[in-house]
Amino acid sequence: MGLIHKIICLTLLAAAFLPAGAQRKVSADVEVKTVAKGKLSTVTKSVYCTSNGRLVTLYKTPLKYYSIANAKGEYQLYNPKTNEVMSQVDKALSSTTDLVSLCMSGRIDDLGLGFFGYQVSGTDREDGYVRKTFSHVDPTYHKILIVYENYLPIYCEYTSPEGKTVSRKYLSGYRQFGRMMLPLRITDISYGSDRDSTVVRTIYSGVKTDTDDPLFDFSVPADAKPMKLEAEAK
Amino acid sequence: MKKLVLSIIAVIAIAFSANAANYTVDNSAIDNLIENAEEVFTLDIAAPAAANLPTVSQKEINTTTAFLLSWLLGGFGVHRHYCGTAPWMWAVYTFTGGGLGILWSVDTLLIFLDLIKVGEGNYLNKFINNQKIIVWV
Repeated sequence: MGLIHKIICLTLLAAAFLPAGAQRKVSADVEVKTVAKGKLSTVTKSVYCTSNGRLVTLYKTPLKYYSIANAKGEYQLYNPKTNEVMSQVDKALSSTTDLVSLCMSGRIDDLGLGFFGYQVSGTDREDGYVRKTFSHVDPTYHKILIVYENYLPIYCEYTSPEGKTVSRKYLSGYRQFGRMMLPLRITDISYGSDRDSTVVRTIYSGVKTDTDDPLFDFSVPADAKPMKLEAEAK
Repeated sequence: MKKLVLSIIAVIAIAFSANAANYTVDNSAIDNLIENAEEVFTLDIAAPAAANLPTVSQKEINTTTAFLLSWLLGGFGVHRHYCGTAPWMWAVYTFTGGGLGILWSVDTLLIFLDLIKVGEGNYLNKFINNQKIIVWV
């Protein structure tokens, strides 16, 4: 009997140290503010991401739209006001490129660059930071530098083949949600003319995991009409 | 006008302070910049009007204009509509942050290469009346 008790206790103790299951669903509210030439544009949305790669986005302002994407790049954009839908298949629209989806899958390491064919071409250290350079087989593509702190990307720099910095991305405010680390604040600065640049601030809030929100299962109504495309009319 | 000047100065200051040797940015400066900017809608709310955009002929496209539109407003896909594209293209660029910045950046680079006549040239042709999201693949 004593031996059985020991086995049960050891089993329970081992189970206590087993990692919790990864999140199956993550939702978040997102606010994107873009400033260019003194003008500000705001987009607010909520994202609903599931572990199978399905991503539903509800755009709230300035226009109400729904988008649905999956890992294969199958994308739908739905206008609930006119009951119209646009469908497209494109790698660039894959849910795997979304930040929440990347964080959920634990693949934030390359910020989704591998999906576009980028590979690590160099690694070094500087003042305690790890720096990785990503290059593409096509020399016309930008070179990208990602800097890591505590194994999390905090900085990303795009450089043109001519060596000019095109844009910079700063990721900060990392918080843990279950097994997922998500940066709650992202700032993108794109360099235009010598006198002006564009600044985009993205803030994530209201992050929830494994809730039963019905929007995770949102689908375009069966009676939705295709969005009229001018090319098709011709 | 004063707000515009202050905003431009703030953006320049942020751009210079966020230099390569510093992997962080001054968040309070970013917040101040946003607070002082004038809020506008990205596009006219009557988005269906974009469906009536006519196709364009190659001779109507000015490379310099296309480059400036791409550089300054490329995150919203304005350069794509200037060159002629599907009416929903603005939504794809706007709601994906210019294709995570990658679409926008590569578009700008290709148009710039055409502008300075480097390499094969005629990269701009790929954008004219192109309904595809990624024109350069």
